[in-house]
Amino acid sequence: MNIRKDGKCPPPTPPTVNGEEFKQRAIFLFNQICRITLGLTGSEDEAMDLVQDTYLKAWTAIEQFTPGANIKVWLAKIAYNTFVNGYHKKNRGKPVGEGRFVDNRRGPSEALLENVMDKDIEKALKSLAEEFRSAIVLVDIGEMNYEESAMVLNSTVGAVRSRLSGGRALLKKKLYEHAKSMEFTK
Amino acid sequence: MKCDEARELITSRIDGEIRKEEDAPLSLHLKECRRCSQELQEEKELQRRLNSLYKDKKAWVELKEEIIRMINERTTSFPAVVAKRFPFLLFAGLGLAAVAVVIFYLFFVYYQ
Repeated sequence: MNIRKDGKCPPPTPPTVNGEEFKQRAIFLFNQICRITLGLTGSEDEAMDLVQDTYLKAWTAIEQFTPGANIKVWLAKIAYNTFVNGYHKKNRGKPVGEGRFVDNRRGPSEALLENVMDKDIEKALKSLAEEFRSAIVLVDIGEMNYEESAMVLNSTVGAVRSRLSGGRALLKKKLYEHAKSMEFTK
Repeated sequence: MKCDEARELITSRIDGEIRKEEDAPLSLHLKECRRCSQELQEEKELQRRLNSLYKDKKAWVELKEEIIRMINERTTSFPAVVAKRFPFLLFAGLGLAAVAVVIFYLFFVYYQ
């Protein structure tokens, strides 16, 4: 540490973000960010565009990143905001999916879920309203905790929990209905 | 505890986000309520399935490399990027500079 002639320590200089370190950390999270964008958009092409935009925006705004802050939250927040402000607006005219919470306790049994294909889950997820889907995507697919998800969604931990609970209930209901139509329930 | 109250706590427990003071009443409720107990198992399974979605996408590998390349280009100075991506521009620039020097030299010699 530098000591001045008067014996006092100089004021600490704010740490700067090392570009190389940022790149390494951001690229390390690449797969998780990709999965989040896929969950949000439900389309591989849109997700790829969104990932590219997210990383380039993050790199351009690197000076705004607070050293020591959670880089995953930062990237996910950029992705989410870009999605909500851009990609999502394109679909304004289209139906936004089921958003009303339905108290439906009759979900699919575990065995039934095993018979449901991944693409069915993806389709059901895509049909959920954005507020439910985003919470599920961040927590279940992006492997973020409630606090991180709340930061991304600019919300509270309690709201994230409610959205998750409601979203999963809706998802189970949709999967149950799908399974029933496919006669898995026989 | 009512089933409606248990619903969100089940979600929290599965995500490892339940508070200590909430956990014991939930356990008690789950012992008594078969429906909520079943819901816990279903939600666990749903979470497991969701967690396995979108893994191993091969298209991401190429995109990752493309993004690294784009970021690296933005890090490098502008002339270096131009030289790398458009080498003919560099040669054209050098050629123009050489022609300009020759013209200037001839002009200078002629008027001497």
